[in-house]
Amino acid sequence: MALRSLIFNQQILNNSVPILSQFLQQNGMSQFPSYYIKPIYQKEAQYDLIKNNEAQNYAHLPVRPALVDQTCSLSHDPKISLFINYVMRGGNKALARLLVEKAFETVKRKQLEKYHKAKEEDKHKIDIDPKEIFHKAIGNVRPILQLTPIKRGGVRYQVPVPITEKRAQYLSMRWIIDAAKEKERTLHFPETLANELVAAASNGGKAVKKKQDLHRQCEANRAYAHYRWS
Amino acid sequence: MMTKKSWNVIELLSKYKFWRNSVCTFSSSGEDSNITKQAVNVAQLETKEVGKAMKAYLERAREHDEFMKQQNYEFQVGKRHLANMMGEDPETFTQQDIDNAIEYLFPSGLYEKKARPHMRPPEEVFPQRKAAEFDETGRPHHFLFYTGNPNFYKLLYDIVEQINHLNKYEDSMLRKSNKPDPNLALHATGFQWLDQHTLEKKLVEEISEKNYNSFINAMERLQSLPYSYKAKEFISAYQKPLMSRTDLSDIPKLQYDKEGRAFITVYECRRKDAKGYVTIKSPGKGKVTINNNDIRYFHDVQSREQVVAYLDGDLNVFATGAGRARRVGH
Amino acid sequence: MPIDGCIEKLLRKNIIMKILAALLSRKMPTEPVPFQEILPLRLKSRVSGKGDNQSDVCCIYEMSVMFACLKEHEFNQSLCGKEIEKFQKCYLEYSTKRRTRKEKEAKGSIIMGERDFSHKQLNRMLKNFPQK
Repeated sequence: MALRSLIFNQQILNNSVPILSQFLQQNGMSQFPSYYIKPIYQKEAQYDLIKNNEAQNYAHLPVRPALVDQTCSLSHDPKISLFINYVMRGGNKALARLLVEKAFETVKRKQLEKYHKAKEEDKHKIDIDPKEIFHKAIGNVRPILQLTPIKRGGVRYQVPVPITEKRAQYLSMRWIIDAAKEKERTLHFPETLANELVAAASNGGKAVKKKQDLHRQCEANRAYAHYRWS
Repeated sequence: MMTKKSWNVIELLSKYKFWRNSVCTFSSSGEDSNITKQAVNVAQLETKEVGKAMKAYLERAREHDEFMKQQNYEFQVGKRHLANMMGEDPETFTQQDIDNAIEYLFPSGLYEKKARPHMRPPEEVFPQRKAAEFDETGRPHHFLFYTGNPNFYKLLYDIVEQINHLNKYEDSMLRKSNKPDPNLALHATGFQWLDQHTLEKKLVEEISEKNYNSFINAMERLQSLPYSYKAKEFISAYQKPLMSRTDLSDIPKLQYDKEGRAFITVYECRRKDAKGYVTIKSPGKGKVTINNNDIRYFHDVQSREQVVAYLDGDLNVFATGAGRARRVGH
Repeated sequence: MPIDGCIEKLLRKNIIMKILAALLSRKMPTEPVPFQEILPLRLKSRVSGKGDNQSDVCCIYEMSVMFACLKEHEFNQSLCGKEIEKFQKCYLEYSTKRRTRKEKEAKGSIIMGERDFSHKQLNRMLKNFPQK
């Protein structure tokens, strides 16, 4: 790592550095100017680049340092770390991570219990890996459409429009977290989150219902679909 | 004494125009002497019939020369004043001394260096001009003179010539069923085209953004040709290396301990405020020592993960400084 | 009464006279009608970009097919995989197309052999060869 930082320090444009004031306002609050690329920190991605002979394209580009939660470890999953960030409140990342990890542990316990109780021929159907369950749950809650209010003749119509990949993922994570938070005081968040994840993975639960409700509403308003972006 | 000094400074100020914010020069140095030479040449030919344009040019060149002479004279006088004010010998007063004196007399908190007061020789301050582009009868020397940007359009013309030449060459190679050498192929990475300002300086012409873009397009087209390495010299004249090479000599070499295990120690590892030095041994059993503690030195899982993720042996770290998360960065 | 009738008669006569005078004084239009050039008879050297504003409505057909399927299967997505995939593919294609078009328009450069020009590109070309 030390070596990595050493190499990074050397990778600064030696000539044609734009005048500081030119890019100071350019990139919001970021310390790095916009032409710095994001690091490719995962080993597989790096191997892919080398395989496709694309590594040379990155050799002379200035790179931002990796974020504190980005590692090349096998257990690292960018979607899960994003989910942790969505769970996080007030910057308490350690707590958020703990909660999500506890939820994953609960998922594992539950699935194992199911696995052992199941008959021999049904055993292969039960997913024990909490990561896989997480990805399945996120995929199942992902909406296909969304409603946007569009004003026509003084009336606001809720118009169904297609949704971008990123927004769909955000909504699915948000809905799962919201569903897990909707609980009695005696219950703990990791437990409800685990329940929600397991339910969503098998197309059930509050989050999935929310998605279906949205689809129903979209279907009811399908007559307005051609109103899009007046 | 004090008041006299300050008065002097004000006088200097008004005389020599310190407060010039931007210095724009569109020509390389030495162009100026070019003008005068040309002017002399033309003056010799004055007995012949001289075109109107040449006359106007000669008039302008004369005015410019006179103006520069006057400015030069004033600069020399100002320099002497400044040297006297600073109590130094005016004969050995260099530009560096002038800069120091100005910085001392007019301390400026302005961020932009160009906006700070300065006193430079007039050749640097006033934009230099092109020499006459036409002969005494008013006929331009350059075949693209009437485009308004002869040098730029000549460059585009040259690029197209190169492209045509390479295409022809490719055809001839195809007929011989030869293939381009993949080892010689030019890499676009690691190089950058000259930026607009540098190109303007190089061509002694103002170039619009649109024209600059067409230059870039043409150059990229030239570079993308399979035999572009034939025109390497031409291409590299308009390129510059993007970044310094990573200095491999700075990476310390592997050392071996008594048991024959390879180890490496890196000192002065820094991450924000934290400092430390790191030893990695290989092969090892994954034993981690941080400030004489094991991995539990870090309380949160994220930091532990960061330490272990890159580990392929034993690790020994001594770190100090603010912030545990920062210390992970080593 | 006689005075009133007199006045009326006089007035009527007056009106008829006036109309007659007006009719006689006005020349009848001669053939052919002389042409008057009010605006210069040439096209402008620019086109407006109004027609280029395409509506953002897309994939309506795919959406309706998908809705029909979803309604049939009580919003169970797994049974309408094909329709959903078609819809999403359509939207993706549309958005990439829009993005590339925008980029091209922002550049404004003209690529050889291109058929479909944006108003910016057309204006740039027309500027080089203005109507005289």
